[in-house]
Amino acid sequence: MRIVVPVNGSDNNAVISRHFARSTHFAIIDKLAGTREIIENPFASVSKGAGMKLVDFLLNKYKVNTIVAFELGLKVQQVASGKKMQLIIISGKMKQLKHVLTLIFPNDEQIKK
Amino acid sequence: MPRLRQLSRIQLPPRAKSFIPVGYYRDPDYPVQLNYEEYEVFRLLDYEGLTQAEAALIMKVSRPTITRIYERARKKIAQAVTEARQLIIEGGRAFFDGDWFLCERCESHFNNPLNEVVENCPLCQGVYLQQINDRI
Repeated sequence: MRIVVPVNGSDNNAVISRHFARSTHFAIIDKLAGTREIIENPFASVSKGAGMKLVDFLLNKYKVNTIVAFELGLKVQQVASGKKMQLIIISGKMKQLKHVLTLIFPNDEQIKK
Repeated sequence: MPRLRQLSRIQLPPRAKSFIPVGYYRDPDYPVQLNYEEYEVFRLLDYEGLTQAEAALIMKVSRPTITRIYERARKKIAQAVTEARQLIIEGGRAFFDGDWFLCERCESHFNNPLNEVVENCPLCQGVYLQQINDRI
């Protein structure tokens, strides 16, 4: 299971973005391998249709099959559902990437640093 | 007897079950019930900025039906805001675009695109799950 989380920042204290396609970075979390990497958003400056391009990019290059976000735009949601990706809409209590990592890896202290 | 209204398709479950007013004049005993399809039309037209024709395609109902649902939704929201009444989102004639669940542990909503048997939350592995589809 490979999960993508939109974040504004490049470490575990990064704030989870309220707008999927406009986040500055993405955290790619591999649940089975127990890894997380943070990549820059290559479509951050694209004015229109960034969400749909992003879903294709994340799916093809990073083999992401799950999107964790606070809010998803209509088009991102439609494209992701069409590609059979799982959507997880998190509660507003989860503010930072470390909160999501704590849920996914409750016993792994290394990855949360 | 008129026929029942066509079922409307809902894409995402609402984030909240209800909205509660705060203040001296609030009236907690008489809530206003906003149906799922009314919430969805309000979201698609006013939040996502779609036209009524685009919303009709997504919700799989006719454009005049969207107009009628939107009219009702606006009236109810205006009533709740003006009279300081609780707004509850429940009921209606709608179906979800796939299965949606709520994890009671991490309070996340998630869908099930591959139609697998769902026993745990994919995020926190919590086992106390509610199927949102049952709320309608």
